[in-house]
Amino acid sequence: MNLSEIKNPDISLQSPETSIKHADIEVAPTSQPETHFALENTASERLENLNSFQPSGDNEKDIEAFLTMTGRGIYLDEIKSGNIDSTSILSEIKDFQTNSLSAESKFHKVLDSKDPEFQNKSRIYQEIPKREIEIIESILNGNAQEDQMIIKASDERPLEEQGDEGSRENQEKNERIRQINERIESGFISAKENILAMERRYDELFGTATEKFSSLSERFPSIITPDFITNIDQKNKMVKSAYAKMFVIYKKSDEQLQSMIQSLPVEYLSIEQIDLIDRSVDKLFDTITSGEEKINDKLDYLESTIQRIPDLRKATEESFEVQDIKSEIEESDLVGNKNDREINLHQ
Amino acid sequence: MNEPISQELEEKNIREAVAAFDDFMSTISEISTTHQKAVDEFNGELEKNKIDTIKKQLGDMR
Repeated sequence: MNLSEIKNPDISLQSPETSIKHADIEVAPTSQPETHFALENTASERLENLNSFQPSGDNEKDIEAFLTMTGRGIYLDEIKSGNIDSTSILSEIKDFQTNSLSAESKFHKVLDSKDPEFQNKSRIYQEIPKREIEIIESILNGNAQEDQMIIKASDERPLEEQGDEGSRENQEKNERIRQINERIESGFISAKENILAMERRYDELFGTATEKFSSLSERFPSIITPDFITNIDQKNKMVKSAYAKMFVIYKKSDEQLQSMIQSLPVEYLSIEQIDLIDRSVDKLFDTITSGEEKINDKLDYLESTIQRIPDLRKATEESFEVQDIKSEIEESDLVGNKNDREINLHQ
Repeated sequence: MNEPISQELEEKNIREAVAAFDDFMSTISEISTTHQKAVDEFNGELEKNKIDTIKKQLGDMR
């Protein structure tokens, strides 16, 4: 038996004018009155069965009854063994019947027979897939309604469906989620401020260091080489990139995590889950704070080493100052000498 | 009066400052990675919570 026969063992594109393989019997063309009658009875019976079908609300029973009644019992073992999913197979049958119905309708429209017998059969063959589709929909929708009823009956039903105790618990959970979001927001605001402050401090230190290095190039040509300066610039770029990355992490995470927390269905979250989220927030900001402390410690150390770099700028300034004084003295001496010379000249 | 710093000591200080830059660079890179990881972990936990909650809902539905 091929798939189309399983999905629609009775009326896959069948028409009264063609040989139709029924679920159990091979039906001859409708030109033979006996068979025609048999077919019509069978189809009528099937339609009657379908019309009398009422979903019980029991998912498994309804699916089993529908598949058995429509000659698709072959699916049942597969469903029971877990090889196929009952809901998806019902959807597939529904899609198949919808397509068949459309094709069948076109087929009969083309024939457009005025024969009352043909018209009756045509009606039955179009009614069967229609009814099957209705039943499938009622089973699927019925299950959804049943699911909704189960959800509402569960311990963690939506707020409006619960009693005072449930409402209080949900209020408490909502309040805690609100507090968690506040902590995340303020935590990341502070993390962003701190990272910017640390970056400013680093920039100042780097500026001082590069000025010192530049002034030392003549004094320490073997250390402060052009490569050395390029290397320091590269390191600076990497540090700035790490700062930028951290800022982006905080900015992005602030929005992402809050949005994620807000998307959690609070009424279905347990207090234990909220406790866990709370502790995860602690852990996250502990990690961030610990990182900030480490960066600040390293900045302190960096500052102390930069302070120890010889400051030739200062030495040069001092040297200039000494030179200036010497020049002034020499100048005054020269002036004095000149004055002496002038006095001597006029004497 | 401060004693004059020897050239050797000055060189040592320069090298220490450069090493401090290296150290700082690797520290901040490492910390940025750690922070990204911490955020990802937290995000993962939230995702897991969301999935657990959905499973719970679906479980109730069945």
